[in-house]
Amino acid sequence: MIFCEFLDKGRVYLDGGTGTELIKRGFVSATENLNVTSPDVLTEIHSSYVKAGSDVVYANTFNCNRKKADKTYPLSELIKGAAKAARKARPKYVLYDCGPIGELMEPNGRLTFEDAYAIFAEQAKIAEEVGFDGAVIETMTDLKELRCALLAFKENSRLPIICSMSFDEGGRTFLGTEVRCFGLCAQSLGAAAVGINCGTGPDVMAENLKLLKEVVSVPVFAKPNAGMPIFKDGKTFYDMDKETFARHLKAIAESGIEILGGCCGTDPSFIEAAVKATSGVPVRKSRAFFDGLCSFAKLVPFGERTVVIGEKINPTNRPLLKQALRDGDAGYVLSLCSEQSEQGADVLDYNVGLPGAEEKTLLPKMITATQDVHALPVCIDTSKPEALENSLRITDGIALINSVNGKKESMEKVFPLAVRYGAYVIALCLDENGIAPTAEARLEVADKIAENAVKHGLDTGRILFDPLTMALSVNSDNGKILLEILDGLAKRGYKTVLGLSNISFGLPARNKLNGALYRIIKERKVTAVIVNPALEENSDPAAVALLQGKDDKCERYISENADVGPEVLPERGVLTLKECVSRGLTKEALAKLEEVLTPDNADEIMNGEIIAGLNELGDRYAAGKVFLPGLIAGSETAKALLDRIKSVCFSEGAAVKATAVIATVKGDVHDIGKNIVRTVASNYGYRMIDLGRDVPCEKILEATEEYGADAVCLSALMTTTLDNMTETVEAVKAKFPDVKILVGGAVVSKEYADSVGAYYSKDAREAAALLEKLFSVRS
Amino acid sequence: MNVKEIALYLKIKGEPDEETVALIKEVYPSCTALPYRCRAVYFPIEKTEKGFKLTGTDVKLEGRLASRHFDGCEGVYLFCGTLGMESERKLREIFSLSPKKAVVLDACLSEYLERKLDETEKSLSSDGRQLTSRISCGYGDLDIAVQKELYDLLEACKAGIYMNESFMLTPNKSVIAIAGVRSKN
Repeated sequence: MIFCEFLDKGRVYLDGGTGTELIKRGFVSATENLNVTSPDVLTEIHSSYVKAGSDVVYANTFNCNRKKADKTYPLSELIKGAAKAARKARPKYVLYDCGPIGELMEPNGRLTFEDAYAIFAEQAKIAEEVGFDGAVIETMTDLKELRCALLAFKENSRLPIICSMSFDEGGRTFLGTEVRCFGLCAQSLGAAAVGINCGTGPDVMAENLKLLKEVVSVPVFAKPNAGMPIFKDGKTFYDMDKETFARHLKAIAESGIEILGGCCGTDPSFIEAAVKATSGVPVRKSRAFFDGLCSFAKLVPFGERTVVIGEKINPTNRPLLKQALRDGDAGYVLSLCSEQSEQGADVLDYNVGLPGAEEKTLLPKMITATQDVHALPVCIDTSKPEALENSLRITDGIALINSVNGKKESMEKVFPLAVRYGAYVIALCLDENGIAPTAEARLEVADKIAENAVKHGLDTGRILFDPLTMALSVNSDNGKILLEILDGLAKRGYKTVLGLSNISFGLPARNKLNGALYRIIKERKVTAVIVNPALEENSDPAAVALLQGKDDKCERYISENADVGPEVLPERGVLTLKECVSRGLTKEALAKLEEVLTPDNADEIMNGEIIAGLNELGDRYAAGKVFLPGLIAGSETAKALLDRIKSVCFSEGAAVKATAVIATVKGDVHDIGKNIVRTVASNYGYRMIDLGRDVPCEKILEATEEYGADAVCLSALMTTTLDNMTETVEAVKAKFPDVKILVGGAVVSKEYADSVGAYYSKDAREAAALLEKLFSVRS
Repeated sequence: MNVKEIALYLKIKGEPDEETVALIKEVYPSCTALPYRCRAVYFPIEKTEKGFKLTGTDVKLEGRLASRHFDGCEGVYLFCGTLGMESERKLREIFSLSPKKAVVLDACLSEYLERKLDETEKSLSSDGRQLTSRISCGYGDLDIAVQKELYDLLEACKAGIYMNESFMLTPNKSVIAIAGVRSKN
């Protein structure tokens, strides 16, 4: 019987801890080498587990990846040896055991998805060639890494794959992955079983297993430790004896977990005791079903209430976002994510479609840089299939694809991706004939789409149909038609979604109309809505009447709302703009700006007031009258003013004094000081390209070239990383002799800067002043 | 929370102003909401020419600082503490909304971590043994490279701490420390 069939049959026993057994026999480090030098040691351990009742044995390949393995023997030899040693013990099944790489992935670390994938793919290919009954990806704490490994094994071997992660008492890994989210993601990518290993003993694990069982429809496995580790005399002991272990495992089996084993601290006697305690427990094959999206940390079910999808990450009519995307500024995108999350968004839509932007790299880049902070499920909004697939690969969760439509080409391209990556899809009710004017015709398109989805193997429950929100200003019946289609879709049992804002295009008091529609669709329990999450609902009678098609040509609505002007007139303040900036008074500054800004004086305000205010603030900071928080406050005020000026006066391409690449050098992970320099410098009108922290020299050179940088700003905090700074300074000078180099950071001094021929600045204020001296025509 | 200490991290000398204090009070709850994970392991020590060695290992604590600090000790506690990746995420989130708050939060996190480490240290000396103050690699002439060996002995990865090739720890708000255990006489 092949392995995945066996998993589904009934009670399955995995093995117990191997590391512990090796330590007992005196093997502590580079234990993968035993696969070649002393395979009999391994065979003996595997045999004792088989004798104790294990059906499945994990081969000794946990560290057989190119980062962790000792370099004495090639990986292929180690893995071959492991398989041979395991087979000799005559278990029913031998699994390739894939452990974590041991390095943090981006954005928290430097390991890219591609590099991690290559490391896992290498193992998968060898495992496929050597021949195992399946593979287990275990002891993972990062869902990102687990997904990467799962994809690598899926795409480079035909082995059935089971996956487990290690959770703490609260049902989270160190990197914050929540247990149910893990189960759903692994299942959606084709794992044959999901489980929990290591981290805790069986008593604590039981709760987490219950959570897992609540949502997945594949079998679940448990491989707990023998309790918790205690340190005595410099050695680790586990505090649970085999009888207690077996008793807890029995409780786990009774709760419906079919597949059982042990991890650190367990030995064959533990497995024997567990087999004895559980062999009488009947196997209840219960399969759960969760309908909804998830991130690595949050579940968003469909059907409980209307799911709010935040729409703000969309560059259309958003010049600041456009510029940020051009600069690769994930920080700005992150602020939009945080804002929408605070305003109650359940899911975030990501659209980075810009002329000239390479969506296939930009979209996944923005998702990667932000998804772990807001921890909300992601809606991938693109019409480009490559951008869509690249994004699906790196989205840590069950994603929503925005969108497919009724055109043959679209369905052919998108449905296979939805199936391959276990995603949900928004389907627009339009096809080659365009957007049909009647409700019935659009419903026919929906039916066509549903039929096609099933042909591709996609359950229609994974589709959210979008009836297409057309503007009332174009046809005052569009609200009525919209609601009719929604009714029709609901009657067919389909899920529904719509983009709210278009309904009010071309009409006054847009928020009022949008808000009225918002209430109506929430009442009708529309599955999801794409909207500005700050939108407030209302039941304005004129708006409601219009939406119901009772207001021909929108006449009543327009007459009631035509003179709705700006909501609140700004207060008149006695402070000048310069003073507001210097004191960090953002509200007052913005009010003042409304009074004084004209299309012609933007430049004068920027330099005469805003920068003058920053300079005054900087002087007070240097004199010890104001401290760091005050400096930052002024910076925030300046930024708010500049943002307002840019969105009103320039559509794009605001005058930039100079471009600077800024980074913390390789080896260094401190970045808050560097971030402050970036913020303050950008207030002074410098385009700052922030490469982040722990940045290798090559990346800095590449960016300097790509963005045509006039300056490179480097930061370092540790003496050990100073060498990397020196290397980078020398490389930049050699390749770009005209580029100005600025250095700073706790370990950097004027003497050091002089010795490498760079400019020195002690803090953000000095850095900005230095840039002004070097680049501003006014200085 | 120790407002004065947090202010020091912000490079504010003397009494912090009202606004800063208000900010500190505003962001501090974000710190206490974070998980704290720690691990500890005890090693007896023996004298070497240049300092001390952890018995049963090849790990040396040598140089002027180590020699002075662990003089009169029969062993050391290696311990690590971290505020987790959650603290990094929180900082990134707050920075995107308000750099000013993020700067203050960063200082608060440092102070909070030190307090949690104080607690950990206290629990280690609960058996009545006297401990020295704690030091870390990189202090004085205690080579930062030793941090790798301590990291491995502690299995700090099991507390969710990662280390790069320059011996820097991620999450940022993580510490690996050593406290000497004084001999009974």
